[in-house]
Amino acid sequence: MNESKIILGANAVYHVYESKAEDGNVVALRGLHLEVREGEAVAVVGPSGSGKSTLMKCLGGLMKPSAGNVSLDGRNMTRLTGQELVELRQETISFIFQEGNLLPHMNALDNVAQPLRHQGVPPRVAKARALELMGELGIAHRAKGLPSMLSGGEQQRVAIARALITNPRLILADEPTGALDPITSREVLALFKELHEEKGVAFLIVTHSAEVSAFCDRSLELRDGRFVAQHGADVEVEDLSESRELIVDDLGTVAFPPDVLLAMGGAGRYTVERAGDGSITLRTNEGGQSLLQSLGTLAPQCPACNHAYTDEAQECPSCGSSRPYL
Amino acid sequence: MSSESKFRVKINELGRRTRDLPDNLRLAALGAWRGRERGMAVFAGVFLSSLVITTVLAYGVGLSQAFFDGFLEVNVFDAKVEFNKKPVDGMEGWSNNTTHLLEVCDELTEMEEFSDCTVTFGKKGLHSQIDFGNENIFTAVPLMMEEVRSENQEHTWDTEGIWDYAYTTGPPVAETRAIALLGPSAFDGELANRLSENIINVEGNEGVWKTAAEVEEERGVYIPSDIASLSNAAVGDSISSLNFSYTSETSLIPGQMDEEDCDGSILIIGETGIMHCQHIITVYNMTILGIYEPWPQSNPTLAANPVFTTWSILNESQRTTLIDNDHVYFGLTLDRALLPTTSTADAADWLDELGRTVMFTEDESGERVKRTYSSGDVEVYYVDIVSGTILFLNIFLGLIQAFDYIIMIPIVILSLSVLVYGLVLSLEQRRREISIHRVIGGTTRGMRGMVLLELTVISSVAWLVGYLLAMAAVPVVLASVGFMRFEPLGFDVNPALGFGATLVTALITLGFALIFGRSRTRDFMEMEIDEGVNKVQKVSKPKVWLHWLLFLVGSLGAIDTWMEMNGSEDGILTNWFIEGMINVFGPFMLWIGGALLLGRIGALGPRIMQVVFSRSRFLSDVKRGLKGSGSTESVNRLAVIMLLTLSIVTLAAVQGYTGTLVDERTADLAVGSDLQVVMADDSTAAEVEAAIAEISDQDRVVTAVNVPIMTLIPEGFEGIGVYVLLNDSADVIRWFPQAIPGDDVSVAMTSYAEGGFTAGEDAAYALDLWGSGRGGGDDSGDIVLDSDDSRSEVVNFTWEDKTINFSSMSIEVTLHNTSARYFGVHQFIPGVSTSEMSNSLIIGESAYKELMGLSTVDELRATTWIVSIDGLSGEELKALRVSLEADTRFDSAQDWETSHDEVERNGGLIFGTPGLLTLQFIVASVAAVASAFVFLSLVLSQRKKELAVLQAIGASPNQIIRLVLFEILSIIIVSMLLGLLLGMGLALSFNGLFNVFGFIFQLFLGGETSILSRELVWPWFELGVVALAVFVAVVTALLFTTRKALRSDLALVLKGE
Repeated sequence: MNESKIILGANAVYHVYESKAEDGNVVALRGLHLEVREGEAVAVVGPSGSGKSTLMKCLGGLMKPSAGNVSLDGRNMTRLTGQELVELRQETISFIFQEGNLLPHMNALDNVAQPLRHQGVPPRVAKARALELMGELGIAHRAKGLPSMLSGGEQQRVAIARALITNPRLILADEPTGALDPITSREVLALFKELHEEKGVAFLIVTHSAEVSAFCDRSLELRDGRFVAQHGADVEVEDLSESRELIVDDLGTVAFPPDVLLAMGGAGRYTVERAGDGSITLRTNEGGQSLLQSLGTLAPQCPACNHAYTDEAQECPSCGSSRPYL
Repeated sequence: MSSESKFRVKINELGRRTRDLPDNLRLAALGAWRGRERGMAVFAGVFLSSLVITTVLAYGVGLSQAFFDGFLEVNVFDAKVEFNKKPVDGMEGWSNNTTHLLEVCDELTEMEEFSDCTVTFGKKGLHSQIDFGNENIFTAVPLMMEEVRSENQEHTWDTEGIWDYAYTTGPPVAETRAIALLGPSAFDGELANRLSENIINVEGNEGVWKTAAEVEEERGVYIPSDIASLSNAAVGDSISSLNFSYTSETSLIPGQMDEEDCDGSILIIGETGIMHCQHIITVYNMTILGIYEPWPQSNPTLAANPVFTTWSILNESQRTTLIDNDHVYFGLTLDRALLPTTSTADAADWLDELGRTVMFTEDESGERVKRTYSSGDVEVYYVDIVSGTILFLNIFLGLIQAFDYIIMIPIVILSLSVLVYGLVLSLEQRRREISIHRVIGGTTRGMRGMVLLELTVISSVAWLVGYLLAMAAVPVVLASVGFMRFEPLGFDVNPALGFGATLVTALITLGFALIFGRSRTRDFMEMEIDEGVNKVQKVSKPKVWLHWLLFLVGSLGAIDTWMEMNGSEDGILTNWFIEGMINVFGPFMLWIGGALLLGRIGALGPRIMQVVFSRSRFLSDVKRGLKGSGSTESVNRLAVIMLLTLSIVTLAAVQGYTGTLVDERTADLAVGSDLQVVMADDSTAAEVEAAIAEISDQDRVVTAVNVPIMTLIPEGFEGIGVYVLLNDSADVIRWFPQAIPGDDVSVAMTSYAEGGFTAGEDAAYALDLWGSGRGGGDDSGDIVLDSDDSRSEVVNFTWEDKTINFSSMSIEVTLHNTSARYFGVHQFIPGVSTSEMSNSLIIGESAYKELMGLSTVDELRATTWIVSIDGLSGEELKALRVSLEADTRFDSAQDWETSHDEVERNGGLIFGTPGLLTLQFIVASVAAVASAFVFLSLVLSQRKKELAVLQAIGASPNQIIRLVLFEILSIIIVSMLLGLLLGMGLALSFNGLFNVFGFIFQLFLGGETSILSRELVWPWFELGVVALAVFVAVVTALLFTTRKALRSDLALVLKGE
C-alpha cells in the first residue's frame, strides 16, 4: 500500500473566511496535512465546526485555500486555472453528499448522465452508460423519476451512480449515509466496499458513523482545522481516545484533543520532563491546577440529544455537539 | 497551438454543440417548465415588452389600414379610365360609339382586380398624370347644372345660387354643381351597393337606388340633400325640365376667347380666369327617385356630390356630342379585398402595377406597347384615385406613430425593468443548482450555456405569446374611441406585421433579454466560482446626484403645467425653447429620476409605518423582528417596480380620461348641445321645437335656445358686440368651467340671470375692466367677482333701437338703457362661434328684456338654434340629424355624435391616443398585479431561511405572518402612494408633451388652434380599483407563499449548504 502513488495530497493548507463580524475572520483550516494513496479509504471524523466542509471543498478543488497547496494525481491544483482544473477534476474526483444534491429539474437518468455531458460525451452514449450503471445499482426502474419523487435511499443511489459514471479514482464523500436508514446505509456501504476492493477507487469520507469508518483503512481526527490524531480501521467513533494516535507534523505542531487535554489537567504551562525513544513526558508547572476545572462542572446530559454522559467526554458521542458547563 | 489546429478545435466544438443541441434543448425546456416559478419574472418581462412593442408596431399598421379603409369608404369610384388622348376628329384610339365603350367596360371587368365598371358622362379627361405640370387638371370641367323647372308651386328651384358649389379639394376647376349621367351597370352590382349607401330612406322621403330598367322607365334623378333642402324637393317629385351644360372649347389665357370663337355662352372661372365655351342640353320629364347625404369631398379627379341620373335620358346624338367633347369616362370599382393593406407603400405599388397593366401590354417581342380595347379601337389612360392621398397618409401617420411611440416609452421601460429584475432574481434562485453542476464537473462556459439556453426557451415562448396576444389586441385598441371605451370599427383591419417588423420585435425583446442575461450570468458565475477566494462583487455605487438631477429638471415641466393650470400665465418657464425641450424630455427625466429616488423611500416603508404604528399593540411583539428590514436589494427592487407600474397606471388613467374629456369638450364647443340647426326661415323656439319633435316622431322633451347678438354702448365707450344668454341656455347648452368665470357653472349662470355681465379679455381691456391680463401681475384670473369686490363694477349700457320711418324716409333712434354688474372674464359659449368671443360681452336675459322692453322672450325669432333633446343619443341622434337635413324647414343641422366622432377619428387631438392610453392602463395594471405576485413569491422564497430561523427561535406562525404582512405591505403601500404621486407629477408634465404634439398636428393639418386647455381629470375611482386589485393580489400572494414557507421542513431549510 505504502508504495502506491499519492492520489491526493495537502500540505500546510490554511483557509480563512473573511468576516466583518466583531470576532473578525474565521480560520477554518490551520496548516492541514493529508495524504491519500490510490485505492486507500480514509475516514475523517470530528465534531461540528471542525472544518470538514471547508476541507472537502479545498481538497476537491472547488475552492482555493488561502494558503498551502493541494495536489491531485500529482498535479498542484492551487496552481491550475479554470478549464484545466475542471478537466482534472472531471477525470479524477467525484463527490457524494449527505443529501443526494440532485439537480431538482432533471429526472434521475439525466442527473446521472450529466457529468458525462459536461465532459462532452454525446448525449446518447451518456444516457446509455447512465442507464447501465443505474441497472447495476438497482434503480433503472426509477430512471424517469424526478428527484422529488424518489425516496431518500433512491436519491442517494442516484447520486452514487452520478458519482461513479465518470470512473473516478477518488471519491470525496460527506456523510454519505447520514440521511439514510440503517439498512439502506448498509447497502450503500457494501457498494462502496465493492468499488474500493474491486476497482481500487480511493475514498475520503467525512463521517460520524462507526460502520463507515470501519470500512476505511484509517480514520483521521479533525479538530479546529487540523488533523490531531489518526486512528486505525477499528476506530470507535464514540470513544476516539481508545484508538487514537496523535499526529505531530513536520513543523512540530501537535494539538491535544480536548479529552486528552482534560486528562492532562487542562491548558497551561508544562515542562518537558523527558523526551526520547519515541516518547515524551510533560508535567504541569501549576501544581496540578487545571485551568479547565475552574470553569465549573460539565453538564451530565447532552442538551441536543439527551445522551447521558458517563465519563468526562467533551463532546457528545451520539450527536457530536460540545458538552457545555453548568 | 497553430492557427490550423485552433481552427480544427473550433470546428470540433461547433460539431459537438450541434450534435448536443436537441438534447440540450430538451433539458432546457424541461428545466424551464419544472422551474417555472423562478422563470416567471423573466417570462413576465419578455412577455410584456413583446406585447407592448408588437402592439405599437402593429397598431401603426392597423392605423394606416384604418385610415386607408376610412378613405376608401368615401369613394364611389376607385379609378377613372379615360381616352388616352383628347378625342379629336380623325384621331385614332377613341370611339364615340357607345356600344364600343360598353365593350371596353366589359373587357376591364374581366380583370379580377375590377369588380364593376360603368360608362359615365361627366367630368372631362385628364389624359396625363395628376400634377401641376398637367394643365388639364385646371381645365377638366364637369358637366354643370344650369336650371331645373317644375310644375310644383312649392318648389324653389329658382333659389339664387342653388347650383353654386365650392369644391374644396384640388385646383379650382369649376364653381358649379356637377351632374353625372351613369351607364346601366351603375344600377346593379358593386356600384349600386356603394351609391345606394348614402340614399336617405326615412319616412316621408323613401328614396331607393333603383334598377337600370326602372330608372330608365321613370327617368330618375338623385339629388344631394343640400340641394333638396334648398329646392324644397322631395322623393317622388317630378321635374318638367333639367338643363345642364357641357364645354366645347377652353381658353387657358384669360380674355382670349370672344363671341366669335364660341357659339354657346362663355363661362369664366373666377379664381383662374380660365374661359369655357358652354352649350346647354335640356332633358324633360324627370322624377326624383332619391335624396342622398353628400360624401366628404375627396379626390378632385371626379366632381364631388353631383346630381346623378342615367344616360338613357339622352338621345344618341346628345351622347355622341358629349363623347366628342371628352365628357366621358369609365368609372371603376376595385375588388378591395385584393388591395394589399399591410402598408400604404405596398398598396401604392400594387396600384401602380395595376395602372400599367390597364394601359400597357407586351407584344410578341416582349416590348412594352399600348394596350388597346374594343378590338383595337380604344386606347385608355388610367387615373388612379386611391393612391392619390397615400403620400399624405404616410406623412400624417408617421407623425402620429412618432407620438404613439413616445407615449409608449414608459411601458416599454417598465417591461424591460421587470425583465432585468426578474433575471437577477432568477439567477439568485439558481445558486444551489449551479454549485451542484460545479461539483459534478460543469465548466463555467458550459453552465452559462445551459442558463442561457433555458433563458432563450423561456423568452422565446414569452415573446411568441406576447406577439400573438398583441395581434389579437390591436383591433381592440384601434376600436377604442375614448379611454376605456370601445366601438366597432365598421371595417375589417388585419394588422399583420411584415417579416422585418416581426424580426425587429423579436430582436428587441429577445435580444435584450439574452444580452442582459449573458452579462448577468457571467458576473454571477465569476462570483460563484471564485467564492471563498474572498472575491467580493464590486458594486458600483448608484449615482444619486444623477437621479436628483433628472428628477429636479423633470419636475420643472410638471410645476410649470401645474402653475399654468392654476392661473399663472406662463408658469416658471418663460423661454419657449427651453419650455419645449422640457416638455418633450422632462416627463422621462422626471419618471426615471423619480422612480429611482422614491424607490429608496418606498423600501423604507416598514420603518415609516413602524413610526406610524409604534404606539399600537399590533406590533408590540414583532417589533424586534422588524429591525433592519427593508434593507435588502430585492425589497428595494420590489419597491421600484411597484412605483413604476403605479405611476404608469396613474399617468395613463389621468391622460386617458383627460383626452376623452377634451374630445367631448371639443364636440360641445362645436355643437353646443345635442343638435345645432339652421332654419330655412326665422322661427320661434316653439316652432323649432315642434318641427324637431314632429320629425323625431318620439315623445321627447325638445328645448331650443338661441343666443341673440346685439350691439350695446357702454357709458363712456364705443359700441361693443354683446351675446345674450337666455335663461334656458343654462340647461340646454353644455357648459363647462373653462367657458365661464370661476369653476362653478351654476354660480356663473345665476350671476347672469341676476343681471350680471362678463367680458372677453380684449373687451375687458377696451372697457378698462379688471381681467384683461394686460394690467400686469394680478390682472387676470378665472374667478367670479362678488358684488362687494372692488374689481367688480356696475356699467350702464345703451341700446339704440333703430327703426326706419318710411313716410319721412329717415331712421328713428329710440334709446333704451340698462345697467349690469361685471363679474368676470369669459372664454366662450359652447355652440357659438369663438372668433369674436374675446372682444364681446355676455349679458343675461333680465338685462336683455329690460332693454327690449319685453316681458317674455318667447316670440324671439332666429335661424340658428341650439337644441337639446332629452335622452336621445348615439345612432338615433345621427339619424335624426339626417332627417332634419333632408327636411325643407331646415337649412342645415349638426349633431353632437357626428361631431364627436369626427373629433375622435380625425384627430381633434390625436387619432388613437385613447386606444394606446387604454392599452397602457390595462398593461400597467396587469403588470402591477402580476409583478406584485411574481416578485413577492421570489423575494419570500429567498427569505425562507430567515422565516425558518424565526420559527425555530419560537415565533408563532401568526406572528411570522403578521411580521411579513406588515413588512411587505408597508413597502407596497408606501411605494404605491409614492407611485401615485409620481404618476400625478408625470401626468402634469406629459401635458406639455401633448401640447407640443398638438401644436405640430395643428400646423400640419392647417386647422385652428384649439382654444380648449387640457385641464387634467383625476379619475380617483379607477385608480382606487387598480390599487385595490394590487393590494388584494399582494395579500393573497403573501398568505400563499408565507404559508408555504412556514409549512416547509424547518430542519431542511435551516441546514442549507
